[in-house]
Amino acid sequence: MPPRSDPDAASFQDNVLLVSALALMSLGLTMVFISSHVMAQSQYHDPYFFTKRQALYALAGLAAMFATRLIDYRRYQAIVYPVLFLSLVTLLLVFVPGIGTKVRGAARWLRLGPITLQPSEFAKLAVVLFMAYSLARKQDKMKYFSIGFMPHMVVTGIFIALIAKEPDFGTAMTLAALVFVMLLVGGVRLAYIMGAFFSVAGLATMMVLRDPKKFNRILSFLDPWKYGQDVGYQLKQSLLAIGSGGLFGLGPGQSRAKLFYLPDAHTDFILAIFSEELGFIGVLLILALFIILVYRGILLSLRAPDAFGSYLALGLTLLISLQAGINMGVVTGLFPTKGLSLPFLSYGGSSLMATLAAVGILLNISSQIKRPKIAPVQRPGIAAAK
Amino acid sequence: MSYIINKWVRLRIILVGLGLGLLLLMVGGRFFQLQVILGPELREQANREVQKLCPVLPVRGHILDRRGTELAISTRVYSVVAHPRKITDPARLSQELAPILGINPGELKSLLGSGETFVWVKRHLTPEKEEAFRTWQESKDKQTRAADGDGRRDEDWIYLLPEAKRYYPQQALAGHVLGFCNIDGKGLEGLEFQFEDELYGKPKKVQMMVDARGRCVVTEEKAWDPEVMGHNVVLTLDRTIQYIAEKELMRGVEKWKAAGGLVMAVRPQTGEILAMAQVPTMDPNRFAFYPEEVRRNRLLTHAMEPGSSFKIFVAAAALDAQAVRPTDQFHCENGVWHLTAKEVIHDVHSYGSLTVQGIIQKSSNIGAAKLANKVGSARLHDYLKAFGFGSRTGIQFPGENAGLLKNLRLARSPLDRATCAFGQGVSVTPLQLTMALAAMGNEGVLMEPRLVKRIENAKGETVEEFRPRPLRRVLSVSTARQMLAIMETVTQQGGTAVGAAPPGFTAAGKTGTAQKLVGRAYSHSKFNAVFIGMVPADNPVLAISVIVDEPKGAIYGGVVAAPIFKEVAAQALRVMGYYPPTPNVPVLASLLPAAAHAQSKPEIKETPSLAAAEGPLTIMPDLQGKTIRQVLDVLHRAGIRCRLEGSGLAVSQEPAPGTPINPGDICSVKFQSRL
Repeated sequence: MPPRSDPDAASFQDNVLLVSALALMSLGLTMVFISSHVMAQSQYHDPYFFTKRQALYALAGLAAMFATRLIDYRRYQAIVYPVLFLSLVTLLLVFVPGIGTKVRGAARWLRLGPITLQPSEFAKLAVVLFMAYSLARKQDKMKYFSIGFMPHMVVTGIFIALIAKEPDFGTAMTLAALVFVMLLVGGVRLAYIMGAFFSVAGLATMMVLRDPKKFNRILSFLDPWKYGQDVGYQLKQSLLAIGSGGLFGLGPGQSRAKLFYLPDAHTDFILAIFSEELGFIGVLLILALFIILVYRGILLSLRAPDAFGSYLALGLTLLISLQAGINMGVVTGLFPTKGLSLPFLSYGGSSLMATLAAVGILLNISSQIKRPKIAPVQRPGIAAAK
Repeated sequence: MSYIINKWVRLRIILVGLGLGLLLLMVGGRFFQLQVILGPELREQANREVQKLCPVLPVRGHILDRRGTELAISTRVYSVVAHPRKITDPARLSQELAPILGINPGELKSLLGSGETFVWVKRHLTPEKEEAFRTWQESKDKQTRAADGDGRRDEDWIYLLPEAKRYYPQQALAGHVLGFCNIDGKGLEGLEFQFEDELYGKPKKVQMMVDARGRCVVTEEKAWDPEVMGHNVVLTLDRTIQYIAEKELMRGVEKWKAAGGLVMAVRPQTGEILAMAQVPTMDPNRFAFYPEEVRRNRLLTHAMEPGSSFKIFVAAAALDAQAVRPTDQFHCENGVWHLTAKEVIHDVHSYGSLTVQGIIQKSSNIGAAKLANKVGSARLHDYLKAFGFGSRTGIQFPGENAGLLKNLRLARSPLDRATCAFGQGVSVTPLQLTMALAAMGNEGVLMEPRLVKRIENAKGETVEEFRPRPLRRVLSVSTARQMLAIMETVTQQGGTAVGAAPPGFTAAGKTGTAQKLVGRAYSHSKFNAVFIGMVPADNPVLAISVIVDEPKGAIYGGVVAAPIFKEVAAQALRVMGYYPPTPNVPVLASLLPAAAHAQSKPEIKETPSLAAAEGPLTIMPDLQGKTIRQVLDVLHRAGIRCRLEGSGLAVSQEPAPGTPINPGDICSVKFQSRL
């Protein structure tokens, strides 16, 4: 199908999706300032240190979003493998001393002159792209082990292993979950998925048991109050912050957890600060925005003009909302603590850019939905209202 | 290959969407549970974590002189404190901090590793060390924030704590009167000790928000909280008169190479102590460097024999008891009086007959002894007690000495009775001596000495006022006036202290030269030179006593102590607003012919221009390092207009130093603040 066969397509896009994404991004900018200024002042003598950077990232992200909005998503099919290879290389480069930078013992960043990139954020996009492409192409053969299951497991397995090696356990697990869900949707037999799931789970358990740091995290997750002074400190502080918020919150800027109590207050745990200041009402707003995103994304996935578009929309929606859901679960102590950022809200350039680029792709897909030709005479008003 | 997804895939996509929705709803439910159901409980717990009852250390009140000049103030300094129990790696910390704080690394390590809950690491940091410590903290913040953000670091358990430190801005001025405090701000000596309760302030506890490093969030308040400030103690001392007294005493002590000296100035009518000077002086900022003896306020802790100065009290007793009349003649035995076979009294010079006034003016021991005999030991003892000798004056000051006044009624030998008349065998404090003297200047009424005028709170409202308090009438008004007249002759021709009166005033006084007791015998080489006196003689506004300890070269009170009295009195009177009466219009000059009179006029005119010619600068001075005020001073006096830039200290100027300049020229000076 040629691109833009429908003359109306270029001007149509899912504005609800766009608005909720932009609203989340703006909230994120505000929250980064609110949650980081005390720490930024103390560490860098500039309360706007993180806010300024996040604003620049947001601009770059918006540019990326416009770019991907304009690129026909079908064109990605041609470059899936180069993109996959490129992101594999960047994931490997992370471990090369000199280019990769280690922060707090984790090699997650690439330093390119003045900017640092987090390749795993872009690798996630690449994996989604690959999965959508592959699922759409193999549709009927998905139930075969050697075609539908094994190749995906191997390719994504390499990525997940590399990301887990950084270590970025949270991102790896999220990506694994995403791959499983997509495979399931694509038609891989449940038995294979379950088998893989249990083997991965077994592997993960072994890793957790062998690594005392991760084991401690599980312990702290199980009882944050008991381990509140050491391993459970972050979770305990997060729960205290969230609880302090109550229904209406302490008021904007009134957070106390950001006074160095809560580590990573402006990155992974930004929602704790947010909920402390704006309360349950504020959390509902964030949840509503994410639910709108999920709803529009799923709708898009169902309406996409082709299978690639469907799987791509599903994958990108999963990428954003699964990570958001898991992050929220981590912050509230539902899941074990992991280094996982909250899309749109957490401080971090790569994450914000990747997320906004994903939104741009979704918008492009939405612009190409085959809609019935405008024929108000033929269609009754009831259908139009739907 | 653009297949459309089949209906099973569509179903699975919808299921995924529902699953995601469920996940978010579950999270929402968890938020509801945490925030709405458990919210109050968690907030309570967070409050406990975040809000700490911080003790606010009390801030000691100030000590001010009568004009409000600050003699002792509290300044903010920082101390390094630590919680060793929380510190896991004392070795590393002490390695890093020892050079910064200037402590022995070994000692620091054992301190930080002691396992105590709280220790002072270093009290009262100098500004440089404080800055170095803050820099260290910041560098640590940067390093560790990046490394591991979980929990608290060792570095958080060693931090700065603001404290109040006592500072005496006038340095040694009245140091022995003010006393000093220990490092915790507890008064140890002097007024600091006496008014400990008033000065100490009220420690309180404040609910404060604390950040995770245990630092209070509202950190740098500009001023002290008035609620924790102690009361201010306002003294009767006058900083200027105190300074004059110390300066003149120091000069006298140096001139006579004396061991030390004491000067005290009192207002006779109110008993207010205006100055209490002693040499050697003590700077309470560095009290630990001074020996115990120097730290004490010897004006009231040190009892000494008053020597001949005591004769005025014997004479006053004799006159007031009407045992003698002023005109009575006493034969002074030509300098040697054998009381018994063994007991002899000598005079320095031999005199024949003297009146009471003569005895005082010439300071005859024999005459004084005869006066004492006339009064009788019982009455004399009563009078001396009434003057306040032998008992504490009641001054609000710790460690006052009562002196020693033997009961003359029980004195075994006539010599004991007699020597008392010229100040041997009794010991008095300079304070007692001055107050008794002042009683004569206050129409015979003895006042209680007052060192503290009032106590005010931090806002300046008076809390307690100490009013002048008359103790008792010692002499009749007429006797007191008579004594003043007699004492005035001491400073006049034929007296022992000729010229002791400051120019333009009359003075009433008495000299004394007391042999010091060394062991149990009187020394023949060590003396106290004493002069006690009042100005003006007819209506004294100032009673001053001067004691010079072990002067070398001259020993007599009239030679050694009286000039100090004169200088102190002359300057102090001016400070108090008493100026010498304007000299009379020259009688002789007015008799001169008119021409000569006219001639003197241009001379008067010329004087200011001469003085002015000396003043202006002819070349540009070097202004480098001067403050704006100093620069303006110098330049304005020279009549140079100047343009100023910046603030702080002068760094450059135009024209350069040494350039010839004329009044009216313009120069520009640049200032730069050093920080």
